[in-house]
Amino acid sequence: MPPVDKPGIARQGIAATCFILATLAALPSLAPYLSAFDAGSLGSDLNSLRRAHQIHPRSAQISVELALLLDSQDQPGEAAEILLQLAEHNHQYLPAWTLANYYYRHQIPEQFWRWARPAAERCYDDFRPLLRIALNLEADPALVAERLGRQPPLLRALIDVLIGDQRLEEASDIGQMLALLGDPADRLRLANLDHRLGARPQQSPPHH
Amino acid sequence: MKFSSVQSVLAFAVSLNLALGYAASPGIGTVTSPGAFRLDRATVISNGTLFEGSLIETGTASSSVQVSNGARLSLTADSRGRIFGDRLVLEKGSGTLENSIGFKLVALGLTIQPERANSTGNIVIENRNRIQVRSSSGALRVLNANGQLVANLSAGSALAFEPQGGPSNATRVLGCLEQKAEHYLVTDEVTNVTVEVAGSGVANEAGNRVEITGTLDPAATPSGKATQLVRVREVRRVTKGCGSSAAAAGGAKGPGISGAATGTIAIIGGVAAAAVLGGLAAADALPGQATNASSR
Repeated sequence: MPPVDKPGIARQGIAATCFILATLAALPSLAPYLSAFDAGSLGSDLNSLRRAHQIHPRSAQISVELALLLDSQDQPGEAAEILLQLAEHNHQYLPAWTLANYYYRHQIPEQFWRWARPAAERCYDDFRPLLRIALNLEADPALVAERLGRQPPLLRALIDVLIGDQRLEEASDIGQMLALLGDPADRLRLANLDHRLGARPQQSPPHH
Repeated sequence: MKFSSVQSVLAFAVSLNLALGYAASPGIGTVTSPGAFRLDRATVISNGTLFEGSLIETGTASSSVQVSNGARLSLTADSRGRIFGDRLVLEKGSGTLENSIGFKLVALGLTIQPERANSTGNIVIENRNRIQVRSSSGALRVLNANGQLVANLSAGSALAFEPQGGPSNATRVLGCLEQKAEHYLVTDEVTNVTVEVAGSGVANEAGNRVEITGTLDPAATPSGKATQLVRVREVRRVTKGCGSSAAAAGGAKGPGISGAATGTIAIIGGVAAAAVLGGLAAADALPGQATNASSR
């Protein structure tokens, strides 16, 4: 059995540790960027945002901030690229929502609907902002519901938005969609909608 | 046009529908935040599209607003404002102009207008009657609801404003009375607003530092660089000559941004009726001071 070269192993260990420490020291720290970002100070500094994005390309918020800033500085192509890259590895709500907004602002409806649907499917909070821009693009609420997936929480929110806009007939149409899904929890909502429809002042027939 | 199948009719309908979509408003800008905020009373995560008149309510995080015309501003946490293509109407909290191309801030009926595109500044609504305006870089002009100039803030200065109710054109200015041909001008030391003054006793005080009370004549056209004409009710000489005038440098004389005190201007009936710089009011250095204007 060959003798163990203990000093040699120790030297190698020290060298490896030094190498790791030197490498870590050479890497720019993300902390200052993130703390500045949290403080809202990176928002308009393109270079800082680019640097932060290079260091942390998978940070959704940094990608979004960078993309929106690029877009505002007439670099929409790069903005879209960053958002699409984000959406490739991040299948949560934020990338889809941001891309839907991006394509809405650039008036590209096909792409808007492509991203609005996953945004609706992954939405865990308030559907109304998405529904508002969708209704700006498509006036027919039934088509909006269809394109966004017709899931019960979306239909409920759509009914509320339409009631708020005094579009009771259309709210009733969406109510029928919701009723077909047969969730007992919606009975009260649908009854209220019926009540609103019944309480509307009747239009008098035209005079001849 | 002849369609050979139901599919082609549907395809045409879809393309027509998508084409009609182009007529929708693309919005006036974007808002971003590290956290959640409210946009038109709905909760939004991270970012959203702004429309004319959108209401932004920040939560625990600040929000940045990018307007399509290039203006950029931010709202601090717990603020509320309505955004339009050319202005933010601040209802609560604080707003900062970071890039102000053609953009204004409005609060308590006052309009804060950057003099240049690169002017930056901040407004804080301190309470329902008082706002504080700070200019960080470049000058800011403060206008009342009638578009009359109330104050000119130079870079690094700050003033607080207390708009008061009631119709009144009463005003007061303090500064060096200059004669320009047949006209008499005073640049107020606190607001940095130049007014033309007209009335008895004015000519005798030319070249002196004076305090003038009077009423604004909105129908008159002022002379030279003056923005308003004041009909004089009373002229009081503060010092003989103008050498000791505090108005040696241009710009409103609020203390610098790091200063603890801020000059306060009471706006009565839409005009600057009483100005207080630092502790001057307490020292009774500016007689006739409105009781509701106070230094901080």
